[in-house]
Amino acid sequence: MVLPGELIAEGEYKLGEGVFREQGKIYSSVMGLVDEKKGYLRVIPLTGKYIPKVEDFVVGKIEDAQFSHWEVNINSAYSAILNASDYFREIDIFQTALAKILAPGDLIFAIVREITPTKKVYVTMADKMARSLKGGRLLKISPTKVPRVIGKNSSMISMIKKETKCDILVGQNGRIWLNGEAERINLAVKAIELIEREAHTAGLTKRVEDLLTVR
Amino acid sequence: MFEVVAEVKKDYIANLLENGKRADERGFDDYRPIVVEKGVSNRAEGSALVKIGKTQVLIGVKLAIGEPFPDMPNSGVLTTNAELIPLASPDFEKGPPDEDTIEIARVVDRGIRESQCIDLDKLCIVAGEKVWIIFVDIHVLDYDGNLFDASALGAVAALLDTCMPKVEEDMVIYGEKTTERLPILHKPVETTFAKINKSIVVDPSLDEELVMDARLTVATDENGTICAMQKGGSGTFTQEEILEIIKRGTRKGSELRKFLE
Repeated sequence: MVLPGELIAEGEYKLGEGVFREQGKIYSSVMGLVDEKKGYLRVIPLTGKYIPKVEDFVVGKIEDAQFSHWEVNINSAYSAILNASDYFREIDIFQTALAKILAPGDLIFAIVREITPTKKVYVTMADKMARSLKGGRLLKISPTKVPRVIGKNSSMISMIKKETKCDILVGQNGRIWLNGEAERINLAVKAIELIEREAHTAGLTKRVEDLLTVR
Repeated sequence: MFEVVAEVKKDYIANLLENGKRADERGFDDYRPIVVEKGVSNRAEGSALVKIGKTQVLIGVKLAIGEPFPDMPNSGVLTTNAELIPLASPDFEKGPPDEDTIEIARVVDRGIRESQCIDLDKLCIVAGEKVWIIFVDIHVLDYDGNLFDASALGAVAALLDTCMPKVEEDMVIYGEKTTERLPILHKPVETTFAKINKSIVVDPSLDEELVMDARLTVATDENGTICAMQKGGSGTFTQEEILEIIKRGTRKGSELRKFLE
């Protein structure tokens, strides 16, 4: 466990997220846990806002519709842009207003396509996973806990989906969208909240399984 | 205070309310857990920290000697200020107070003033020249909905906590408190109701405030007298709804007043 600015190591390492090198020494840039594997060094952050990465799946919220693009809130310090040309079908922007296709307040499941050096984020819906989300429920968790909700090879989320028969989409930005029967959604929400609360403890999968199967 | 709300969230809250439930499993007439701590600051003459759920408001009362208003030469002066600091919510900006900030200060001020909570005439030192000036400062530390009720409750708690400072040759000596209290006559409390579609709920949470059509704040004193009201939002209330809110507000108000003891 390290704090920002704390010295972690010296020498030859490949650097991952949450660390930086200065005069040959490696320091942490976030609060979190040090992880070292095969000469590869990183710090897994314990808290924090979502920092976009290319090819991340995110649940975005349309904030505004312009002439040729939408502004999308991705629960980050940076807001994202969805160009009309990145929508999954072709739009003639001279014929249809974009607000008629996706209005402010609508949710989308999209992929981060590009991040410019000035931290402009572009998302795209040109992928078969991407879609606009209608109905269901929206849940927000800490983005740092998302890997635990998904699990190894998405084992955890598959289990929740199987046991609750809910349609669940997890965005790397900490937003989770669920759809299904109201009672089953409640159960899935309880499971996800349990994971978020006890993310750092051992035997989590077993407890989630118990929660889902014992009714 | 502006955020685009996801349609999904709006529909979810509205659907639950139609079935008589709330997103946080409270009843329509239930407040979130309330905590009132008095005397949290040594520097202020009176202070209170109020928590309603995750909403947190800190209130300080300062006293100074100054001139009365020319049309009320025999009365002390009450000034209420609110501050929504960026620490409390990502939607709050620093800078001069915006309309939401001013609204909170004015609604709290009106509740105290119109209920004649403080006997301002007793705060006159020399008629037309010197009177006590009361500053009530509202600092919002954490915003999770319903700032009105938290601020109003805290303001009265802080006034009840206030001790007059020592005075020597017309100079106030801060830091040295006497045992003398402010002349408090009434204990007004405010209750806020939000209308979402056709349902009316007390103590709206942040999510409920973001999707509500309208809200109504009712201030009542311990005799059940209505001393102030404030309506907000673009929606409307029918006459029956307002009468119902007053009835429920008076009942909830007497429950809130217990936290002032």
